[in-house]
Amino acid sequence: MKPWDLALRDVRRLSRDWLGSGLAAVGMVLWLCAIYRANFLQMGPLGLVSILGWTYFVGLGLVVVGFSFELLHTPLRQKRLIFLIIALVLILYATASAVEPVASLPDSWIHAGFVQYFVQHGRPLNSFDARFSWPGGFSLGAVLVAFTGQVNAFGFLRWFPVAIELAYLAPLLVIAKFSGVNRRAGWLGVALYYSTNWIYQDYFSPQALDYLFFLVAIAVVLAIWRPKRPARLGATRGYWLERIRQSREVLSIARLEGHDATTTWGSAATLWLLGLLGLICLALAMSHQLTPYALILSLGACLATRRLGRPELIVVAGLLAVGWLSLGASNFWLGHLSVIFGSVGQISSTIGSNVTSRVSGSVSHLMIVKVRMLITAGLFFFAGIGVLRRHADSRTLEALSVVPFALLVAQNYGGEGLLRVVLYSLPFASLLAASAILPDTSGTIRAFAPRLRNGRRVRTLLRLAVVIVVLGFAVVSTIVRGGNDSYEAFSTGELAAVNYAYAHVRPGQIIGVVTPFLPVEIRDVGSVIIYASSGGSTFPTLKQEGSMLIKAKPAVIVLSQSQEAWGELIAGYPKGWEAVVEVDLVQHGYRVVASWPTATVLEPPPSVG
Amino acid sequence: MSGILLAGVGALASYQIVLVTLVACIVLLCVRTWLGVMGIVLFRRVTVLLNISVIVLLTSFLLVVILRFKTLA
Repeated sequence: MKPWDLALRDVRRLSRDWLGSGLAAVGMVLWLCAIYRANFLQMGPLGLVSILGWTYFVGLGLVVVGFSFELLHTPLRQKRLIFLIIALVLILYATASAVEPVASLPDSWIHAGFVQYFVQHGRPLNSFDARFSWPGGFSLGAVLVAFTGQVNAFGFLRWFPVAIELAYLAPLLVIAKFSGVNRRAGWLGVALYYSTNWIYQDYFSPQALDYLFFLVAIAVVLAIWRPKRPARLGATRGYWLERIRQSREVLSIARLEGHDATTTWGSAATLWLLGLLGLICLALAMSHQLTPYALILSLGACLATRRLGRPELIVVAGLLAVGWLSLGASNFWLGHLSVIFGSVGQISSTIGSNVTSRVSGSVSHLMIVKVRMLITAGLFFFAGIGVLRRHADSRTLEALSVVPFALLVAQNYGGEGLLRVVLYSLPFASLLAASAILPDTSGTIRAFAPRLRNGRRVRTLLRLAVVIVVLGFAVVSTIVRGGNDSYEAFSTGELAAVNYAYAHVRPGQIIGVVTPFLPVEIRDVGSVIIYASSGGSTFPTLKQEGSMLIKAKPAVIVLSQSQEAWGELIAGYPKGWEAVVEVDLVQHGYRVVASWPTATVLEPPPSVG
Repeated sequence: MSGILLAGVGALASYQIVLVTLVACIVLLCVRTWLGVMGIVLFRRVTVLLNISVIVLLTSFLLVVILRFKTLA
């Protein structure tokens, strides 16, 4: 062979070796260009996607293509796959943080205000907000603020979503490794989880932290215990009779006592980890209303499917959750127990309040809401195919994907129950969806669907399938995740207006807004009151907005671009409606005392103030 | 049973009762877990006694919690 042929062969080998990582690197450069060129102030009704140029989508596409090359490379190179998953996470979750000048979502600012209260007073504010009855997360936030020498938690808000999503990666990889799917399906499942998680519960909040605890707990359980092989399978009685017999064993005493799970871990290590899980259960119980119960159900699923050897853990988790509700959260339920138990068993009204009530608003908002439902339905459709195609040693993933839905029987969670349930199910449904493309071919439980024959071009076809599915979900997720950003993301002017308002009110006075889609309640929690004329589920007419604000006698009124967008998209007000409200207020003696390109602050005439 | 408990059913809803039942139940569960993980085999009679104690305490805990909800809410 000639020297240049050798050199050419080396170049080809090298380019094949580095193709996946190289494509991802180019993709990241294009993504950075997209961020650099995005102008937040030009955001349209579709939210974040309206300011992202073609470079964003080409960059995302290159990263996904790079991932597909690396995923099907033999041997599997884990370090490169981690790099590619991190690149995917950055593109999907850091874009909003990088493009938007301050943290989005009013709730993240409210939580920062709650943390501020803890910093100043060292205790929760009773009977003010239900969230103060589960103060663990806020308390930890206060410790973090003091530990880092900050004066408040504002510095944590903007980049929190991407930071916590990256923190989820470690337990997700452990879950993927020990869930029973093959290694490639595990990596694909993690990529699918990030590509379909539009739910936006990763903002600065106790539930984001508790979701990390939830994932860690499940990851530890799956890592410690393996399913014991059934005594006999597919014997003389026939496959289906045998399967029915084994399914009946789910409720046997041996299964419920954890004897059907086995471990290779030493007893000391297992005890330490069980102690750690107990602490996690305690932290969960005092930090969030719903996650402890999701963990209890998921641990129950692990026990029933031979992946948990100590049933005591479920009982301890239940005791701590109910114990905290009874003792620590009594301020929440005293006088209105129906908030907790009122929706028990009312599944149809729960589904109604979770789905139907959300499908309203302008055409662009409706599109976003419907696509959100479609993306979730799409993932579960793939998960269903995965269930049919995969061989397995236990049905743990199927059980973990389904059990969170039992929460809907007990609680509608203020119309957000379905969102949370999907979130708890997502990591496991993603792994099942990955099994639709890369199913396991061995296991004591046989697949329902017949195995497809591998053709000559199977690797190319699989690569194509991975690109289409992951990229499809990632693009749609980008659109729907930032779909509310036109009114949930804020400019520096809006934050400055809110700060101005707080600087000019005294304790007991009111700050008036049309809707609380602003960074409000960021300080003086419990002493300065926020009044929103459209704070309920029904919206007043445009004429009523001004009169309701005047009637509330606020010390200052803040009007802003985010409220304007909310009015157009959600309340159905005409374009420029805020100017009408402002004129109405000015006619009643209010005067503009400060203004920014995206916000205006008005003060009442001296006789009112 | 103390005089306070006999004073009225509502007294069973006090936070002390709930807390003591909760802690007792968790302690017994911890003992059961420790025995199980370490592979320590007890006399059958002791095992049954331990399991019955856990069930009784668990039931008591649920009852006092329900009572607390009914009395205070």
